[in-house]
Amino acid sequence: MVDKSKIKVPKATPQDLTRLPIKMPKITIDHNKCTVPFWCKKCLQACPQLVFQCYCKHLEKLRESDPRQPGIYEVIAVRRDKCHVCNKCVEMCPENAITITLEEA
Amino acid sequence: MSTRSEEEAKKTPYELYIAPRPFSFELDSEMLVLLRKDCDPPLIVEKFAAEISGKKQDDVDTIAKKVFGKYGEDWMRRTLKLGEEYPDRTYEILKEAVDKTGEMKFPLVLQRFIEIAYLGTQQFRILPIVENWAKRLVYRVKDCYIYKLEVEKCGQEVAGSLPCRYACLAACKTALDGLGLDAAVEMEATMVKDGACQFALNRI
Amino acid sequence: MCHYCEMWGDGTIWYLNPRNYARHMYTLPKEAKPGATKAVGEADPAGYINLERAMVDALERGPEEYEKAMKFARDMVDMTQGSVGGWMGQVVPLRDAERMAEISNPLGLIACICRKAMLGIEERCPENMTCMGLGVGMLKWERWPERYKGGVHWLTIEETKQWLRDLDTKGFVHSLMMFGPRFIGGICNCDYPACDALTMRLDHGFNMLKGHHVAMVDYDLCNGCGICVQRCQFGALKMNVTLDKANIDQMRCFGCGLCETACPRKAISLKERIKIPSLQEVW
Repeated sequence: MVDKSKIKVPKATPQDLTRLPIKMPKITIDHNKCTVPFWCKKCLQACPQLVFQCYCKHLEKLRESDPRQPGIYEVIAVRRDKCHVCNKCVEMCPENAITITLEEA
Repeated sequence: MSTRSEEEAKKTPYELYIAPRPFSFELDSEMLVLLRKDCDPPLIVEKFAAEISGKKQDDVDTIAKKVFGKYGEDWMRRTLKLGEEYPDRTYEILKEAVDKTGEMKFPLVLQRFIEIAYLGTQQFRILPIVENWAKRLVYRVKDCYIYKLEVEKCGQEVAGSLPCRYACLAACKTALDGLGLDAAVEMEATMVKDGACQFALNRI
Repeated sequence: MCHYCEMWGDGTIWYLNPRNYARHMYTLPKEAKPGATKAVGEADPAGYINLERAMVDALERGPEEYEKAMKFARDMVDMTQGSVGGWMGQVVPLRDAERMAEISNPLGLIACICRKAMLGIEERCPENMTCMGLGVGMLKWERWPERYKGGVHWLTIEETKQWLRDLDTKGFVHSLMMFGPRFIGGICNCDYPACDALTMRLDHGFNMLKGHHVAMVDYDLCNGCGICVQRCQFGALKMNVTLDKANIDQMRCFGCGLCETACPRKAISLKERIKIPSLQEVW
C-alpha cells in the first residue's frame, strides 16, 4: 500500500484572490413565467458566456422526464462573473422572465 | 441558434423512454437461496474432513483434488443453470450489448456467473473484481467461508495447504467450458501468503 | 507522475492500468439497520450546478469566503466521486484514449450531461453523442433514463477508436472521468466553456488535471500554416507572427494533443511531462 500522507496533491488557483470581492450583475429569472426552459432553451443558446444552466428538478427513476411539462426543468444563472450585460437573453426570452441589474460601484 | 443535433431531433418524434417493466438490476434472492441449498459449504467441508480422517498426509492432496474438484464442477454447473433461469435486468442489457457488439462475453458474461457462484455460497456481499477487460478477468476472494470452515473442521495445517483451491479452479474451468470461452485459469495469490486468494482468467 | 499514478498506477500511468476500470456487477442487499444513512450520490439533482453557483457567489463576498467555498467544493467532489484533492478528471491525448478503450468493458456511447445543462443540447442519436460510459455500471443505465437521454449505444473496441478519432478531427479535447474511488467510469470529449469540468478547472482550479504530456513545436518542420492554432482550448497555442511559426506556451499546455493530430507536417510532438524538470510538478 502507498502511504497517502506522503503523496503531494496538486493545487491550482486560477482566481486572483487580491481582486476579490468583485461586483457582478444580479440576474433574476421569474420561474412563474419561465416554465419549460429545456424545451425553449433560447437563453441557454443566446448567451455568449454560457452564464445559464438548466437542470431537471424532478428526476425520476426508470423513466425519462418530459421537458414539455411545465416545472420539470429549471434554468438558473450560474456563471454571473462572466456576464457582461449584453442583454441578449433579456431580448430573446419569449416570456420576458429575465431581468439583469448592475449596481453602480 | 440551432445545432445540427437539434435539427435532427426535431425531425424525429419526441418519444420518452420508459424502462420496459419494474425489474431488479440485482440478483434474484430466490435463486441465491436455491444455490446455497444445493452447494452449501459446510456440507462439502464436512465431507472432506470425513474423507481425510485417518489418511496419510500425502493422500490429502489427492483426496482434495477429487472431492473439491467435483464440488467445484457441480457448483458452477448449478450456477450456470440457475443464472439463466433467473435473469435480472442487468443481465438482459448485458445480453443486448453482447449481441450488438459480438464482444464482452469475455469478461462480462463470465463475470456475472462467477459473481453469482460466490455470492450464493459465501458470506460477503460483493465479490471484488480486480480486472475485467478483453484479455483478463481477475477476482479476489477474501474472508472465505470455506477456508474458515476448513480451519475449524480440519485444523490449521490442512487448511494451510488450501485443499479448497481445487473447487475454485474447477469452477472457473467449468464456467469457461459452459460458456464456450477459452482462457487459462491461474491462481495469482493465496489466502495463506497474501490474505486473500486471487484467481485470474487469462486470454493473453 | 501525478498523484493518482503514485496511488493507483502500480508502476504505470494510472489510466493505462486495467485495475482502475474493474468493478463488481452485483451487491447483495444489506440487512436493514435502523437509522441507516442515505446512499451518497442520489442527493440533489442540482448538486453540481449549486456547487459552481456557490463558488461564483463567493467571489462576490471576498477571498476568505471564496477559499471556503473552494474547500467545500473539493471535499464534496472527493466525497461523492472518490477523488483526492477535488481532481475527478484528467486530460488524455487521443493515443491514450484509444488504449483506454482496450482495457475497459463495456463501452457505451451516451449523451453529454454538460452540454445538456449549459446549452440545452440533446444528443438523441448516437451519431451526435460525445461521451462514453465505461464499466459495468453502464449496464444499469435504465435506472436513470433522464440522465441517459437518448439511451446507451454499445460499441466494440474498434468502433470506439474510430469514434474517438472522428471527435479528435472535430476538435474535442479527450478526458477521463472518475466515478468512485479508484474507478475510471468515462471518456469525455469536450471544449471550453460548454464542458463543466474544463470550466471548473480553468476558472476555479479543480476537477480536471493536466495530462501526462506537453506539446512542443519543431521550428524546422513548422511552416506556419496555422492549422493547429484554432484547435487549442487552453489558450496555450498562438501564431508567433514575427517568426511565422506556431508557438506553444508549455506552462498553459494541458497535453490534449489536438495540435499534434492536426499538424500536416508532424511538426508538433508530445513530450512526457515528467521528463521536463520545470513542468513535472505542474498538473
